[in-house]
Amino acid sequence: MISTDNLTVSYGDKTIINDLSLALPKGKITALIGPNGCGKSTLLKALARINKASAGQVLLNDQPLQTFADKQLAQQLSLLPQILTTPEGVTVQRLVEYGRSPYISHWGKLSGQDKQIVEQAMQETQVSEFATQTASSLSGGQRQRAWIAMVLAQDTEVVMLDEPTTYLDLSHQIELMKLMQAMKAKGKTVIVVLHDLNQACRYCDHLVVMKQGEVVAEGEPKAVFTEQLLQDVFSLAAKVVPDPIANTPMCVAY
Amino acid sequence: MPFSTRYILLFASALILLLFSFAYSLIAWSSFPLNLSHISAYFFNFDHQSIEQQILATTRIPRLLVAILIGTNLAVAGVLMQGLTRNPLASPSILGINAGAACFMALASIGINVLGEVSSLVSASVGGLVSGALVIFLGGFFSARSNPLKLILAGIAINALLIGITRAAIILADDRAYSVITWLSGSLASMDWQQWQLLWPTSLVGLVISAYVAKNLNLLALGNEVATSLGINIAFTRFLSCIAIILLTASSVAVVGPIGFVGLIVPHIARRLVSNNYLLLLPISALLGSCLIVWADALSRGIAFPAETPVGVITALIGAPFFVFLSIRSKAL
Repeated sequence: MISTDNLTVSYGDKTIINDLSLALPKGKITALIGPNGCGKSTLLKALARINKASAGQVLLNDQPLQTFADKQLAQQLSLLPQILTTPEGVTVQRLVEYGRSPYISHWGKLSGQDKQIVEQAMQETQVSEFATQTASSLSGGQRQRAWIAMVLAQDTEVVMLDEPTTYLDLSHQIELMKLMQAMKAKGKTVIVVLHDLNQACRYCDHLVVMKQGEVVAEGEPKAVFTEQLLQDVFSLAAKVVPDPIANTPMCVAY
Repeated sequence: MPFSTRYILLFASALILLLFSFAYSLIAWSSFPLNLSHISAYFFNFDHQSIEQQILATTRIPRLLVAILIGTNLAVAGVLMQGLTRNPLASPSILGINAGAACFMALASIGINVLGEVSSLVSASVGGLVSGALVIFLGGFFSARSNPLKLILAGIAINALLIGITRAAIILADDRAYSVITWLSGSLASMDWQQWQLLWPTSLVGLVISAYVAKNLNLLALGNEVATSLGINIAFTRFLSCIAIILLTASSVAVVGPIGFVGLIVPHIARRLVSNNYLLLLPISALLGSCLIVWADALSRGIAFPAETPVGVITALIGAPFFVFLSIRSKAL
């Protein structure tokens, strides 16, 4: 389980997240939602130890993050950032193999088991057919799936995704949501930043709603996602109706 | 897969090319005619009385060894620098190592000896080390958050300052200016075993560190956040790489003076041959770099034989047009 304990994160003089205590449910999909600039990505990076806490701490299974060695942490926690740098000349296969690096000693090679995990990650994201092509030559959606395959190959208990659907068309967005549910079925904790509120309600178990660096609401979508909340957090006039298929809350703006 | 037949062929042909270059460079353009039999005699049947073999032993062999190692050092430092800054135009000279070594050398020649009475070799190495460390420090490069661009800006500023001081010193040096200027163009003309002894230990340490960080550079290419998430310590990788670059470049520049373009061009050619995998990029760049310097050195003796042209002039003459060609051809420079 991942939690924060009076966490404060600042860039220089500017405090982005102030004194936040939060516990995210283990083995569930948690969506971080909120308007642009509310601190979702900053929080996600702090949870992954990419942003250092200026006060307080982040705990993974009740152990402070800073007590983990780099590779040890990378075996338990992975983050796919929103903006990805795909180097020229790196094949999809090699990109996905990089996901295994936390498990290999510095001069070591991939084991048979590592190769199997890589193979499986590529199958689950449907990029096996591009294995020998360079990742930079793929379309935006294919490339995003190759990156997600890398995260799958990393095989961590906690998986964090920062707006992973940005470059995907709707059918691939839905596939990604199902992929997250498959990760959950394997016992993983998924934490994802999403902009599509209806997808967040439909596919995630837990919502954390943020505004100006503070968590304003937290809980199951049905309990949290209300017309009043949309008005308060997004200044959005909307009607919340049940989703005709999943019966989860769904908003229609007016 | 990394070690496919293609790469083995590539390495083999680079090695063969290198061996031919070595043999050619040992015997070409000598005032005393030398041929291959002198080389084999030197290795298998050394004769103190033979002038030809003495020439090989005292000047040609050390000169060749220094050329090989300089080429390796500069090319490897270039690969590290480009990997570290994720900028294909970054070259080790951005760290101000060349300019720092030149500056201390020029200051020493006008009697300003910051270090007291030491050989110009030592003062050049120290100059390179100091300026390299200064640029890295000002660029804030040891913190994982900092932007590689900051390092490049700090480098440009320090370079400009050091070059200014160097020019002023040369003007004041007057009668000794000629030797400083010769050194500034980069020359292998007066190599002997003493230079080799100075060069190889630092180079060895630098090359071992480079081999160690190669794997991390592959992951660093994915961006700082992904690399961190994969368990790479960015600050440590940067620190080690900077140490390697400084060792490789400062030892080279102290021995032969600044030789431009090698660290910029060789990594580009290597990248085309073996893609962006640093585990392959480093060894192939090392081979190509030493080939380039060995050939440039042979040319530098031949162009105005029996006079010597500084080898740095040759690499610049080959390098500048080649770089223009590359930048026209390349879509993603």
